[in-house]
Amino acid sequence: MEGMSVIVKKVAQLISVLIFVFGMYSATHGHIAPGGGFAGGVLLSGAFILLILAYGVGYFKLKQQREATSIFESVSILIALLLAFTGLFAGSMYFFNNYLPPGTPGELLSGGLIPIYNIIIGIKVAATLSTIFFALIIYKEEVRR
Amino acid sequence: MGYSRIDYIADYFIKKEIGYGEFAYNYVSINDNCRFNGNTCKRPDFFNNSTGFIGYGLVVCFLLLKAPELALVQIILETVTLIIVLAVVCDSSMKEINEPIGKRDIITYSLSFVLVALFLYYFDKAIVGLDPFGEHTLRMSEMYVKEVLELTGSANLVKGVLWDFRGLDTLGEATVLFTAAMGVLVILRITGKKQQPTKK
Repeated sequence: MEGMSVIVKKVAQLISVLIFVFGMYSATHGHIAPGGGFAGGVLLSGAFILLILAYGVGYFKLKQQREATSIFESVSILIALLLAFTGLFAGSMYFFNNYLPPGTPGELLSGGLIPIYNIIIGIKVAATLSTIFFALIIYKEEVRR
Repeated sequence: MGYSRIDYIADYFIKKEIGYGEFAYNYVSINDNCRFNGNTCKRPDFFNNSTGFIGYGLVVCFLLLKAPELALVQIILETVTLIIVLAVVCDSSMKEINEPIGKRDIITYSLSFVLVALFLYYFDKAIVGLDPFGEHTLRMSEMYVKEVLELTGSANLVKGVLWDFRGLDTLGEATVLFTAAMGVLVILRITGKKQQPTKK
């Protein structure tokens, strides 16, 4: 897959930063604004996918990227599970126990564990979608070779 | 690299080597053998028919349970799945095994018929007690809407429900994504186990 023209490359460079920042915002402010972990993760992976589509495959070391994203994916869902397990040792002792104080609604640090879960699942979704995309690209490239 | 099955399906849909009408003709209308590019294979009729039957039966169930939007989704999903399954099955070298019906087969078939009859009986009993369409009694959701702010402190109601009241469901949702990635990685893996270097 060759890269596209210079105009497309430059525009993708500029736009992907905005998409990335918006994805970060959506994941971190999921508990006080529309969005959340899933939507933020999709946006984050979309930024990378846009760059790869514009610059072509040869520009990136895709195999290393794919291994990294697989590790991120597995580790983040493990962290979410462990965090859910910590609820068993606090307060009324049930799975997914939200034991941190709720705080004042509307502030960034509120909602107990919800923002942390949002960030973790944002990383997870971004890593998953990137992994799938990388796997498809690598397959296509290796078949063509 | 060989011309693998997934490439074949992708080519089929993307390049449109033959039209969709011919696709339907090749895969559906011929009963005994289906042909594609000169290859013939036995069509496992039972498999295709049962998947389609279950899917479209679910559509009827959803309609009876007063969920028209779910039924619409199910129709689309079922049609697409059936086409893909047919393409995969016809391309594969799998053949239908024609074995004589034994004692065990009779037991399993009769048991499945009994179970289906039981299911339909209780389904019929259950849908009588449903509320009329559009007039549901709100049991849990009313409490969710009213008390999510003070219980969780999350201004976004959806996230409060997803990560506090329904945490396990959301974990399952994330697991589905995880499984999808695993499936893609396994199916699209070209280099399998590394072959042992042969000694000369």
